[in-house]
Amino acid sequence: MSKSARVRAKPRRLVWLGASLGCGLSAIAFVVWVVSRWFLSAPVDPLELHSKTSPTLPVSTSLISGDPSDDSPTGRLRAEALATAQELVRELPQNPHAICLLGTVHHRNSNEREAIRLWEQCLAIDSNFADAHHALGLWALQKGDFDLAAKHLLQAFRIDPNWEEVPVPLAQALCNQGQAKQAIEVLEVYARSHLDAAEAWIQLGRAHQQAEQFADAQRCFEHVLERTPDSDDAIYGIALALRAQGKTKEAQVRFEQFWQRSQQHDQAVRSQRAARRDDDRLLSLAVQAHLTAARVLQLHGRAQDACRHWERVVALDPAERESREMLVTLHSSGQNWKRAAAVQKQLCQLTPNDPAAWIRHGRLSLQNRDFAEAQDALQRAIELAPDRAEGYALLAQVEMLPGRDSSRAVELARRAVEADPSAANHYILGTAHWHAGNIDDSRVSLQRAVALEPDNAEFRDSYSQVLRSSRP
Amino acid sequence: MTRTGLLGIVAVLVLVVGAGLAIALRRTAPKQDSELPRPSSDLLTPGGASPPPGQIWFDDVSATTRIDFVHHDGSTGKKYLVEPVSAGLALFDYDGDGLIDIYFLSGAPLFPAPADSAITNRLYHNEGNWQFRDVTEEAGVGDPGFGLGVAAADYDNDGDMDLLVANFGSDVLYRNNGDGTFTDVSEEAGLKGEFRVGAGVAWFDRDGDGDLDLLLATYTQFRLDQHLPRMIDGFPCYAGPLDYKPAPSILLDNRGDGTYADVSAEAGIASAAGNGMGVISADYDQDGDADLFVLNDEMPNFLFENDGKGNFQEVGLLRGFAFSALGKPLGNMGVDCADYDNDGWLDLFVTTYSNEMPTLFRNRRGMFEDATLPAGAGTTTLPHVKWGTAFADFDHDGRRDLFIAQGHLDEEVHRWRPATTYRVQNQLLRNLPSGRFTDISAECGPGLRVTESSRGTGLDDLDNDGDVDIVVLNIATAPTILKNNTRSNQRWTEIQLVGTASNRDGAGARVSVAAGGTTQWAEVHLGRGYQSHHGTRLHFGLKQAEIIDRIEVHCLLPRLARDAVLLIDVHDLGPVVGELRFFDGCIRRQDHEVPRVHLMRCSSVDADHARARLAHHRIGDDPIAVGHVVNVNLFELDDVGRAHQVRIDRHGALVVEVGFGDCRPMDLRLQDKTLHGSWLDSVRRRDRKRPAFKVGNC
Repeated sequence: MSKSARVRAKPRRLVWLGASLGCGLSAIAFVVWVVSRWFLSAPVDPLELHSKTSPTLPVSTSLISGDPSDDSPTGRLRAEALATAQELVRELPQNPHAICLLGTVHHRNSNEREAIRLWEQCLAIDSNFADAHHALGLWALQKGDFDLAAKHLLQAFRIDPNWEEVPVPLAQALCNQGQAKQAIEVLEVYARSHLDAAEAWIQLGRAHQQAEQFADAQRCFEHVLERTPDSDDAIYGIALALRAQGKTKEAQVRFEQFWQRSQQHDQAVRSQRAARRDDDRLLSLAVQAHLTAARVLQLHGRAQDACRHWERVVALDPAERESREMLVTLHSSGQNWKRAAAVQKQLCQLTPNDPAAWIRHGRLSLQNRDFAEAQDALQRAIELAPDRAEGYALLAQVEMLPGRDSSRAVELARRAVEADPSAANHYILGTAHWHAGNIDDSRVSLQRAVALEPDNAEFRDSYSQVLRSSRP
Repeated sequence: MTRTGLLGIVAVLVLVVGAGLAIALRRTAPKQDSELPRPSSDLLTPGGASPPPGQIWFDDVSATTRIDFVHHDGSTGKKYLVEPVSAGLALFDYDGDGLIDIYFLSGAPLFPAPADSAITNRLYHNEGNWQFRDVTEEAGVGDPGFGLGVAAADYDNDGDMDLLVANFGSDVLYRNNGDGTFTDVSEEAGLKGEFRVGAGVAWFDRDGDGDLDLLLATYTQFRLDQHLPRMIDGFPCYAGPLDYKPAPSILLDNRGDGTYADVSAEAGIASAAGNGMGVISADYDQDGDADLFVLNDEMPNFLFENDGKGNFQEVGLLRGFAFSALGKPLGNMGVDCADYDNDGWLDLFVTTYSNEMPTLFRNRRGMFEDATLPAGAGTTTLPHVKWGTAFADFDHDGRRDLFIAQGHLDEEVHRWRPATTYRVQNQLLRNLPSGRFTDISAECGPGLRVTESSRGTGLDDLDNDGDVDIVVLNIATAPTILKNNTRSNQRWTEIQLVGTASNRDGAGARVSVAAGGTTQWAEVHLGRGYQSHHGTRLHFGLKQAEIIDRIEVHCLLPRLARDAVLLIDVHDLGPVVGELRFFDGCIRRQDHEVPRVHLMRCSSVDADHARARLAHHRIGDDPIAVGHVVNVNLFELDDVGRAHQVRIDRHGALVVEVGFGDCRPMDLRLQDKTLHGSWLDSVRRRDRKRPAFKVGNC
């Protein structure tokens, strides 16, 4: 994988990376430092945090559109994004990611010339830097220079054919030039290996439609509809393709289906507009700046600095997941269970129907000895996924605590064994029986655990203890 | 500092001063006459550049036309919704002198209420020779309302064109008194009083009763006290139409007595509420009635299909007009309608908001498909907000090109969207033989280099030299007047229909011109583009064709027959019963020259009615004086049709009045000009015999 691809890597990869780092000594040291600096601090206003986090670089006001003395929320967000990018460039002056980010911030602040200069500087450092090709391609696409857009986006596609943000704009640039067949070639390469990439399949359908290959277009739209039955784009595309093939009645059914949905869509858009914040775009720019800075610094082994940016993203964007997942991993590896559990709870609220998130929260709460929180989280996980063993097993351990219901612990542990008859679950069942005073049942369960994992010392010790206790 | 450094600075200074002096001298020293090329006077453009032969070329003549209109957008800094969407304009001949006049709409102060009557719409009389005179006061059309849309039509069929102005406020109907003045008849016509956000206006005959009805688009439900301040990235900006409730369009039925009745609900127009902007009426499915197209800003477009009796059903989605190929609502603005691919079916071009492609709706036998990308129609306009638009054959190559007016709403847009700016150049797209359009704006001369934030656009032949000129209303500043200085030896014809049985403007009539192996179709629209009016006189480029083979006029005459066709075969030398007249290239109105008649002939045969009796008349080659009636009973078609009169009007145009059955006659006005050769000679060389003048199913 190329370096640029690594920085853009999906959250799961970053989580894995974070976990690996967390195993190292450097991560422990980092967590201690972060705890000392941030963890005990009270929640702060997102816009005030900036003065603590990135005060180092003065904002280059000449490069920012608008009033330099603008102290409005938008003015501060604009300044924060620019300061973050400039700081990153100062720290890593030859890093194309840092320079590319600065270019992006300039572009969003309408300093187009500087943005292009910086993106081209990235390419001078590394001609295979896909992000710069991508940025230049999108810029050209917006300007209506489809030839230049196609050139840069094609280059980005060649460098990183799996980057999901490239094939669709590339195909758009080609289609806008009337080169639908070339767009089809590009998209087919990508779509075949990315069956769930709905946007690419939709664009492929549109390119087929433009090339008057209506049956192929229909197949592409149907492919999307199979995976996402509420895709308006797919329904409309099918209707157009059917009509073009002379299947008027079938087309009419689809058009009516689409019409019903578009009426709802209109209402939704009106509601969204009413709720829209004026600083949404600059907020998103500041978040992007901190995310990129965090990723780049993380890759350079500067986890402490990265953490500062992850935290800032959390403060700025209540819905951003990557930064929270990274922080949970980092805090866990530093055994800061309280902070890890607090961030994990935010993730649970963001994805309330994800049982894995609740289980993780339950586990972290257990580590934090917040048993009530753990019980609630695990109960929620069980409700969401009654067939998963993990929730039962963890909740059984909660019920085994002194003063709690040990018979319920047995019941929960039994459900865990039913769902997953692993050695660990047999062990938990045996332990639950032990706490409930069912020594014989405990022995049987522990015996199975040992039989399944004879090398596990903990299982063997417990089994021996039960055997000793069961002797007359 | 070292000595070398000082020497270097001195050397640089010397070079800079020297170069500056050289440039200054070069600029100030006049060229000797002998050095200057002497272009012929009719080719010399104001910019001093001479257009290359065959190149579409426009010069900006705004500064020399004596048009002193300055548009006012009413802006106060509050960014009210209606400020950036003003306004349209109308190109029409209000006094019947044969020269197209210009009516500009203006916004007005919004808050406090308009008190300054100095800011009004303005009417400029075309004095000829690219000179205009402000006649607003004497004509009485200086409406001080906040103007948005306008269209002209002879709604009372009295022979002159009236005006309907759609305002942010109440609409105004000006009746033309026929003496160069107008009377505000809004109240007596039943229009006065309703406060609304006006938009596009279209006159059309919904039920074929010969009276022009009215479609009035409504932008949205907005009042100043409902204003929503909006910001982007900390900069104040305009709210969008989706911030307010949509509103249905209004259909007003002409009762025939000078008054209008609101029939929106019973006719089916009120069933669909939208954010209406541009509108146009066109018979897209060729079923002989007028259908209606309403563009909606950020909502699906409406296509109201006429059932032939004046009732409408919204079929935009099923006919493929509601959305572009993306299936998403776009910020639809202006619309024009023409047969761009010469397949006999009327296509539509729709302008859209920034970061959205315009949409070319290709008509495939009554079903529309988005042909924007295959045709490359306006793809280079993507970053900009597009407004007025019009099809026209600027170089007479037989293919209609496209003009697109552009400019953003917000002066500060470059601060949050660097891809565009408030003021941008307009674009001209050439229609290529391959069926694709290409942006040739950069090669079209100084006229296309004007950078403003444009809105309404009108195209017509302002100097009657046979090519199509352009008028652009620019928001909050002076308009742009572009003279077509294309050097072309290609031919053209202009046709103006004058109805007598049907509506006098010929609204809805379809005309085809067959020449040089190509048949072109056009339809008479009253109200089009971005809330504007232009192009009542139909223009056809004929390439190098020396002969027009045939002209067909399909009239909206439901009272008589759905497929009433007036077909004129020009070249046929068979049973000549009349003659159409063509002029050579000497039409120069400013010289008051009477054009010499080479040949005028009409022939008539009714293919379906064997009883048609053909009379023969030959005028000969003698010049005919203006106003001279050639022969009242030039030919007869018994109960099929009757030629009432063939005459030359005072502008040198031929007028043929043809009656259908028992109905009143309808005028067909033809005017043509060739730059080279003689029509007479070319016609005489032809020796084909086939039926020519046909009136079917009457």
